[in-house]
Amino acid sequence: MKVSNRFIILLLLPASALYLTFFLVPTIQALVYSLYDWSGFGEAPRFIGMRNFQELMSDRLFWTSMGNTIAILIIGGIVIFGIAFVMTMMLSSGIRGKKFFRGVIFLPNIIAVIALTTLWGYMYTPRTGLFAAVFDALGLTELARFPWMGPDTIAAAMMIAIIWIEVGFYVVLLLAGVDKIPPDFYESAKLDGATDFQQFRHITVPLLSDVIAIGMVLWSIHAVKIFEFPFAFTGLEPNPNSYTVAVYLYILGFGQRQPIYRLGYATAVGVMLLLVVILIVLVLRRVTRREVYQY
Amino acid sequence: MAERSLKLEQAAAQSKERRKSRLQLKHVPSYLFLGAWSLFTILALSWVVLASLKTNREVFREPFSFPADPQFVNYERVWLNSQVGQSFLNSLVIVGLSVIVIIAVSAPASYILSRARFKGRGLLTMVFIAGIGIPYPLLFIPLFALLAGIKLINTIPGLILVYVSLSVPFTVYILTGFFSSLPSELEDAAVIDGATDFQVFRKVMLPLASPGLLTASIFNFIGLWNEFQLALIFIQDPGLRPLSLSLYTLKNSMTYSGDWAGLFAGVVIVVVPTIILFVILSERMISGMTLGSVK
Amino acid sequence: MKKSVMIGLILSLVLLLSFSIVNAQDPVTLVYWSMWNETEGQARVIQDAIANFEAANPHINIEAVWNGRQNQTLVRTALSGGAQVIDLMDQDADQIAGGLMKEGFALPLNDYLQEPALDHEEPLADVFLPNTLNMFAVDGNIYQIPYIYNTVQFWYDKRVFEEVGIEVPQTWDDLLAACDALNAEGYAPIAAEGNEPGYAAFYLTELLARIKGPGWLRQAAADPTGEMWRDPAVLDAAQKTRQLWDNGCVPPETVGYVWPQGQNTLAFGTAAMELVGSWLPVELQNATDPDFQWGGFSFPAIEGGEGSVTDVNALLLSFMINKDTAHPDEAFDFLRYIMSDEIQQKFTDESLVGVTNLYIEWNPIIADASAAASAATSTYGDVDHVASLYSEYLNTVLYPNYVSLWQGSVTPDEYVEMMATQTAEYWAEHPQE
Repeated sequence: MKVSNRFIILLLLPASALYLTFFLVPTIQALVYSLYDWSGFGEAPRFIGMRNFQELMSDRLFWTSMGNTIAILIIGGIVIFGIAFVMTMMLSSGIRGKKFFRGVIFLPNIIAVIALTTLWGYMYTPRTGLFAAVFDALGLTELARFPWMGPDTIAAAMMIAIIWIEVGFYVVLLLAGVDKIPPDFYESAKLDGATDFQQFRHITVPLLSDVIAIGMVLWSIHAVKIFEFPFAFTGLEPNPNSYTVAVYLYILGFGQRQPIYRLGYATAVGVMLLLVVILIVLVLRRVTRREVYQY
Repeated sequence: MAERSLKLEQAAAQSKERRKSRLQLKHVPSYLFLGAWSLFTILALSWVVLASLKTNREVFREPFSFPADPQFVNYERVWLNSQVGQSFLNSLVIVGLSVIVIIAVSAPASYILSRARFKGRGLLTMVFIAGIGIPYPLLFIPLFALLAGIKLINTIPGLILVYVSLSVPFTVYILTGFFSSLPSELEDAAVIDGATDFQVFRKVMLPLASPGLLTASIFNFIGLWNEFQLALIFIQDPGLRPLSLSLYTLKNSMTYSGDWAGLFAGVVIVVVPTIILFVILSERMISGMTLGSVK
Repeated sequence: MKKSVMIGLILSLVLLLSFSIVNAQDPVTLVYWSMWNETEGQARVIQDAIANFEAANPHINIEAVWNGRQNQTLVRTALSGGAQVIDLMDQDADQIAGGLMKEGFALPLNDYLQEPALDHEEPLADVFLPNTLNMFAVDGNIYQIPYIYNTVQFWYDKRVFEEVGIEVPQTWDDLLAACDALNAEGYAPIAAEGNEPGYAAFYLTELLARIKGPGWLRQAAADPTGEMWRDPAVLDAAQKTRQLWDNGCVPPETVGYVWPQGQNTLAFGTAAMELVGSWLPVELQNATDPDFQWGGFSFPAIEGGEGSVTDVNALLLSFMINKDTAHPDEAFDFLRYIMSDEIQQKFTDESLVGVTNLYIEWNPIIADASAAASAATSTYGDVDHVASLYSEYLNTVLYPNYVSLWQGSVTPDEYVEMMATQTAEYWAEHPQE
């Protein structure tokens, strides 16, 4: 449609100005700051080139946090989409109480994450926690004393909780996609004698491909910035074994009880996170660049 | 006639019954899986409510019992000693205003980006949408420095500004999808009737896009209502804390004084209004959410 | 309707005016950001102190902001935000020393400290218990007013010790023997958190202080070659750390305890003792039975060690005045009041903590902490002052490696090697001034 240039500018201006000033400019600044040694707001940054990135390469905590973030992104993503798919299949198979199940499965999404960390932290407590009480009742005393939040399993323990929280969102998303598939597709497939699984494999999945793609993009973006859960999951301070990149960046930039203020270094961590996102986008574009089914 | 219709009804009922029984057998695994998942969620959340009514000793020593003598005083203590009420208001103001401003700036921009023809439109749209992929943590430090420069750290307008700016890309993404799916006939008719550019936008297209605006509002509302990491960085004054931050403080404060029952009471106070809202609005929320992302 | 609004407006204007006339002698507002949460006992004492102080000084108004333990970071962040005025703050003394004080945000208080105390003839400086006020002095300048005194000791359940029939351990071997006795009766001897670096490191700090004497660990931390970590004492301390786990002093599921889950086991009577600050009784007061009996004993001596059981790991909590405050005199007046017998007594009576005013008898619940504090022949800060001197080293090298040892992911020998090389690496990247 043809409209006047003045009108175009007028309508674009507020969003563009905000986006530019408080999003794009800071992003570019971040790229610049990551090349500086900067020990506090109000202090003068000192240019050090790639030194921050060199230091990152041998920074164990950074790699732990990156490992956790990637694990959440990939392993968590596969499990979440797997479960969400199964649930979607089940929910769309004509069972009763579909809306009820969907609502309950989605519920954790709207609850403040801090509240959920409290709940999960309590459930995982050895001896006195909720899981321990269940195992004790079943006579499994060994499991009742299992240190779920010990160094080897804390990341997995966190992942389970995150999966429980997130699955509902993708169920809702996929289910909406399924609901939009014209029912006669299935009718005619049934007439041809297709099994439920065949219908799912040859009708549902291909027709959902764009929804799946959107879901994967949303998940990736969300997963790389997960912060609240590891931040509030453990004791007095976030536990380094369950750091995500976002938490480590915050700790480096601001600190907990003691200010740290390695602003340049923390920003370099952020730049690494951006690189991860770019990588994901490239991969996802390759994976999802398939013919789009029109219906 | 009557006889025939009776027969028909009977036949229908019979076939329905047959179908149902067949379906139910097939559905057993679905009911088991979805039921177990939902039961876990419901039990876990009810356990929090139960724990909030116990004494501290009961919480740990008899995790599964009903409170011997319901301690409503836990709620009183939390309400009086924390700023949950104030935070609730803060959250309403912060999130409400943010969502309004987000829509107010994003809708016109999306309209132009999807319907107006001008040079560089594609590129501009891409620049906007690219923002979705930029992880927030990258912006912590530059944004802090920026807001410190204009003295908006630790202020509600400062946080709103951040929320609005960072929400623009995703909102533009949803809304451009919406605007571009609208038919152009009405638009053309309005132009022929002599409507100005602004009238076409305000009187014709905006009402048509209202389901999309609702979707975008709901997405932003849910996202911001539980937003934590940005609030953590930009708000320090307890009187300005939104609910998520307040809950974190509550968690710290209650664990330092060993008041677990009080903590769970606080969790209930914070979470219950959200859940009630969800129960009332869930249909609308879920359908609204999926409108935009599944086209 | 309109008339009533007008009258209301005029009335409130008159009220406002009369107020401003009464308070005409320049009102002062002090902004205090606190490490306490509003619900904690210590915060209530400070709230009372503020109310009394304001009543006695009608022109002073103290605005308290209850931030909790991330206070220092919030203060620092808010100050760099540029718009926030903060006159007073408090936090762990070690953390202030390594944080705001090191960065030059603190006001030197030497002159004020020479003025008399509120309820004693002598200068305020002389009211403090020995080795407290000067603990973090820099070149003779004092920047902090320590007002709460925590000792790090083993805190134990007296009834359990009596029931099992064990005496307070005097030596390391006594401690191991006590563990055996407790295990035999089905108790978890030592409660601990699985992954709270600061809590785990109490063992490293105490072990090295007993073996090599206080001050050695801080030298090792600052050794640019890292070679000091190869001293046999480090291996000994590392082996003793693992001994606690291997001998069943610390039950294996402890690695899964996230604060405060470990200390809760002590409160619920399944465990017998915990090495931690004297703040433990107050943190657990809602979880313990009403007739729980607390005892405390100092970290046992180690045969042939150079340190003494009267060397005390003292974790102080301090106030600090912002050097940019517009009202230093009023701010200090308030701190003088915090140090008065009245308020210090209240701290220990009502919030069960130790205090720094030497005239005050501590709450009987922490009598053993009081005994240790007054018998102290020397005091040292958190992680033998490494926390205040080299906080980044602490967080990136010392804590993570000790936690690995603590949780059994590395052996004592590996630990020694890791500390020696990583300390050298750290100082190569962060040259000391």
